[in-house]
Amino acid sequence: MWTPIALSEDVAAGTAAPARLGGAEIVLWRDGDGLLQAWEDRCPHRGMRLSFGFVREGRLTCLYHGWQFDASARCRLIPAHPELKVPGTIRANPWHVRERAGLVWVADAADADALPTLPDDTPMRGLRSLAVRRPRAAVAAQTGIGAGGWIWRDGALIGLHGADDATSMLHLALPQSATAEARRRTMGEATALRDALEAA
Amino acid sequence: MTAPAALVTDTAPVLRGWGLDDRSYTVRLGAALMGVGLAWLTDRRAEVQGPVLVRHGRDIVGVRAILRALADDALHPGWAEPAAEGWEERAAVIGERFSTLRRACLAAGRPETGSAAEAWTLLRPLEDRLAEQHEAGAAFLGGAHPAIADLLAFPAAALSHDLRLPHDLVPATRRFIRALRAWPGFLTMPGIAHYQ
Ligand code: FES
Repeated sequence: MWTPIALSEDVAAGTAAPARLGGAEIVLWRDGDGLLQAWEDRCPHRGMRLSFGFVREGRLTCLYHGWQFDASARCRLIPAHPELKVPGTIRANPWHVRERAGLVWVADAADADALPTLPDDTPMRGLRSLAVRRPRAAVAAQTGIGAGGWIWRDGALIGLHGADDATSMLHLALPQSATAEARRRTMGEATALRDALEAA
Repeated sequence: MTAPAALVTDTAPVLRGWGLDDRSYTVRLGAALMGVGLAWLTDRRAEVQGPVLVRHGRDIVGVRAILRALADDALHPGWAEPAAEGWEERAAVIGERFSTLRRACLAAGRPETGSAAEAWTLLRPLEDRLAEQHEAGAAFLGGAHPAIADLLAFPAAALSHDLRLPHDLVPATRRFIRALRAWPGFLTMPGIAHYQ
């Protein structure tokens, strides 16, 4: 199953961002050219969160001891041993990742073929991701969002994922042609939806 | 872009603060970003009582009042601009309450029960405001230039994980942190890195 976990625009080029899916910690990062990766948020060296790291010259660098990982998830440099040819077995643990309709979608290896669950590729622009202090199942039941994790409502795409057992996140995107007024209105509606979900 | 050089002279204001205190950090950060020279005296009492600024022979207490005094000397007038819709007052309340909660958590050695819930209550209005500002094309609480309100809110935003509010749940706040961190002159404190 592909799951929406962030807005595309919330992972800027040359930066890393944290995400969680059902408690699993994920780092999303882009190189300077905008190529997106999703990996387990855990450095293979000593387990530091890679989302605390930084992106330089197409590599994600761990903040702790500076190990550098390229887009293939392989460790390419260990600064304490600069001459070392790093063994190919030292690598981060990647998720499958796609961008579609303004959102970032991830899947684990077993579910990566399930493409038909994604919405079509209407040109969309992310509006806002917002946390809801309710479990995913409760939010899905109240909003009618199915197992695919998304729904079209009033011209907006709403994605949903469970960050942990108690907290979900809604991800909203609108067609790129939406006016500023429509975006403002949908923003207000999203906040009201969140508040209603938490009050239920 | 480099930070404006902040000259520390004999007449520079003196901060009596504590290195691990987020309120003392707010003052150091404010002076650095504003380009105002600041002398520093370590005073452990600041951990509980908050920092004190000695300026022109007077003691100034309260982070907001200290930042207001520093903003008088700032090179850019944007620092002294009050944020719209009462956000300077609101950010001051968020900063103070966050600091109290964080001290309690650090003293206990772990986040206390309920602190995450209160962190949500404190930081959600900030997240909502920053999301609206971003949509309006502004990176900060009042506009495109940071001001005192942003400084007051910054430690609560950047250190929210100390109260078990992880940053994946607050993307607008994350964007705000990145924007202030990129501002010339930015300073770090333990728990807040400067690397992007
Ligand atoms: S933990 Fe990442 S480099 Fe050591």
